[in-house]
Amino acid sequence: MTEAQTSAGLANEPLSSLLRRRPVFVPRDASVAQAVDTMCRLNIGSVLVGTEQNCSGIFSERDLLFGIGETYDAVRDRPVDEFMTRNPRMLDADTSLLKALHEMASGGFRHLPVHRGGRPVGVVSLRDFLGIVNKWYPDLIG
Amino acid sequence: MDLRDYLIQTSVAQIEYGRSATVDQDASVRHAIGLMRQWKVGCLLATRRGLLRGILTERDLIRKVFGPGRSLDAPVHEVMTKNPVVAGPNEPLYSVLSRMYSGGFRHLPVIGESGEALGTVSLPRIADLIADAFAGVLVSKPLPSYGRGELETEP
Repeated sequence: MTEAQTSAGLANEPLSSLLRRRPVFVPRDASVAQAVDTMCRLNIGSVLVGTEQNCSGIFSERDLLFGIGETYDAVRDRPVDEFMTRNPRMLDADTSLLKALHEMASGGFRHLPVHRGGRPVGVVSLRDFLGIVNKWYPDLIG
Repeated sequence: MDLRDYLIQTSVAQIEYGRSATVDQDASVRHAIGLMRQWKVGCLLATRRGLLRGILTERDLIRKVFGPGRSLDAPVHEVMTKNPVVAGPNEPLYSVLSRMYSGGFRHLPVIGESGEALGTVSLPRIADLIADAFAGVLVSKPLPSYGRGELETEP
């Protein structure tokens, strides 16, 4: 694939093409331990907090490590909404891959919630972008 | 240069793969977490006498420590990923991405010829470079080149 093609692919392909599963929610009053258990069980790096109609934040591996870290045992039964990232940056499902990649790189995000009409429809991670590079260059990345 | 050529022609040594950090494999998980928070890094290279023994990542912590409720006093070597897949400084980026893709890794330790830990190359870092490369295309700038970062070690 040439640079022009790759650039066009990144600029034209929508973020929704990376979505592989419905977003996983935990209720706002779920404990930190319940959120961690959900992430472990489903092998995912983040969960959304709230409901599809009213999503108030995202709780990720980063929030766990940097926001809680060694104090985990002391706060494991506290509500996860005390430690989540509130009002996270969310991108429309029709946003181009190029814009999304820039958002993730400039904002330092590992996980980015994706919405359609204001409702979360999934979360994309940098690993999902790696899948796109693999799709373009299967002879190189495979 | 297109993205394909960039991934083929750029070696690990040519990008800034710093912000890496090491911890002794016999240190406690509590100590390791403190270092990760202090240095704002998502993984540590676990070493013994300077040689790489394993890698401790956010994912190891959530799956082997926080999830199952393991004591933070456990030594790092009990929860780290042993014998991690590694990268060499002269390896091209496509080869690193390929290994990250097939293994589902976000970080690969970079090691020298005698097994010494040099740093960590991360998927977020490479994603930054690709995003920069395309920003460069849009405003007709050359692709970025970076010097090597410094390895942080415990004092």
